[in-house]
Amino acid sequence: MSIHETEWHAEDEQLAAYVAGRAEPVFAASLETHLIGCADCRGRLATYTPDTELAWGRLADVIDQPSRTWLLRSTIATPALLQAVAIAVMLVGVVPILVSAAAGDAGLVALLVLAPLAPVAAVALAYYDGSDPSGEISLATPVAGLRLVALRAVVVAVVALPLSFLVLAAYNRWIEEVPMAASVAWCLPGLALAALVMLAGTTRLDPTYVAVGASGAWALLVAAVVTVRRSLRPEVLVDLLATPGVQAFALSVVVAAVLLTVARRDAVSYRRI
Amino acid sequence: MSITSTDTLAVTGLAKRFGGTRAVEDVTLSAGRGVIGLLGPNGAGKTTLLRMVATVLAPDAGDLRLLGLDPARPGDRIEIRRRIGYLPQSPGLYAGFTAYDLVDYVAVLKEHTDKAWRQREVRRVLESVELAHVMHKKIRTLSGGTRQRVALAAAMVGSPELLVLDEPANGLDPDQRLRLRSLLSQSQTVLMSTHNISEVSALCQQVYVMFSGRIRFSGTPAELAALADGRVWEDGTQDPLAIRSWLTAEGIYRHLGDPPAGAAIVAPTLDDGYLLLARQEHR
Repeated sequence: MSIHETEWHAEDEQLAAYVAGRAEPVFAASLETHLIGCADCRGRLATYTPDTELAWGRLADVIDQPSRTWLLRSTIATPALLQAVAIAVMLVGVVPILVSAAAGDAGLVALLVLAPLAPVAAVALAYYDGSDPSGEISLATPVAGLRLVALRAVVVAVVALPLSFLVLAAYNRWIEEVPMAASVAWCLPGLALAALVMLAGTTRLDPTYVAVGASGAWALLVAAVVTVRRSLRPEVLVDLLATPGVQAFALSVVVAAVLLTVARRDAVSYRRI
Repeated sequence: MSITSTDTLAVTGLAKRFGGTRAVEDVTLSAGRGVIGLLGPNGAGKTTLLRMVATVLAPDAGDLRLLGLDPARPGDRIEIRRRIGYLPQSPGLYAGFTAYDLVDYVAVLKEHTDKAWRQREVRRVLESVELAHVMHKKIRTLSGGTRQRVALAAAMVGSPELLVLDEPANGLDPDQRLRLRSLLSQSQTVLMSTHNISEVSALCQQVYVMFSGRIRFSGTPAELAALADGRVWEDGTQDPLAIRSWLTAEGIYRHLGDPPAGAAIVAPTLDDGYLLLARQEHR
């Protein structure tokens, strides 16, 4: 406190320390006695309170700041999408790497067999009724329906595709050289299966069951090829997937299923009964 | 019942079936500004009706107009969903989110992409339901009543012009119910279902009563109570001829039905009117 000719007055730092609760107890008691009789200091003290509130406000602004952009919040930050991404990482990354470590080029076989199932799982999970964090509330929002399902499926694809390329690059580098066609050969068949599941979501069929059925059909197809060719070498699967006929067929399935899904999008806009 | 073009909500001949069960049958109602109550026993079709009004379920038949728009048209439906708020009977919120995250998530689904706006709005709605102190707690740590208020806050994001609330007072204690009443009375148009008749009398300008999928009564709360005018009496013993006879907290019997000569007729309440309707329905 400074001593003036007629009266003591608290200094700004002392008032600030008092308001913030940092003043020594004995000094605080003395200051309070002074404040009772000094309108000038009381008036100055009052100006500190809004500052404190502003400081709290600024702190709250930081704490409450949405930590995610709208895209992350509506996609990757949701449990269903985390599950879908985890499944994609398992199918496209972890399992092939583990199989490669244990059995050499069987890892590539695992990648080619499992990778097309990643987008299938992503679409099935995007449709799953219980997957939305806000439950039924989400159905009464403008993005409900095909927009949200498609957005989430694309997010999973964005994770899975580069990962599969990385796995194949690693395979090329450390295990055995494979044709580049193998890198992308699974994409269209995978998208075709996923597009069929997405189309199933616009019908009375349960997309989860359709996803399981599509995965089973895919497994049977691979098993049939392996049986006919009497080999489970990667080249057999690359031959199966990368031929123009198979790719063209898969592309036509994707286009037809997407067009039909868009045409029937109204059915996805409502709650599945 | 006349429906005008200025009604926020206009329903004509609405119907919904689940297999062989008629959940909602030929329902017609309308609502302008204010709070509209929907009463009825379990299984009466209230939740199905509210789901259709919230654009969560597609009707099988009938005409629905919300905010002057037709939800059967995709463009209109999206616009309606931008302007309504919906609280389902069982919100089923993800327990791993905080209250703040959940409301922020719903704000994103309502196409509010500006982070600064979302921050202000999420705080505002959470403060309006008095959850500012728990906004950063995980939903799994919150009580049932608090979760209900989180869901209510999510429904109120963006100050919707029409709030569709399915039993909003579920799990709330008496104090919270009073605060809910205060909150809803400030909203533009609210259509809410409830089992709590005192809420209807305290809040609603208009009430609809549903039985077996159909609207059996529409009018003001006073008109619902008036259905039992001259048909409620009290005395010290049970009356086997009454439609309903029950012991009140004051230790006297209250009877509903055709009063005997000399009976002490009392003014009917909303409960009396509702019970009389329910009795007529089950005859």
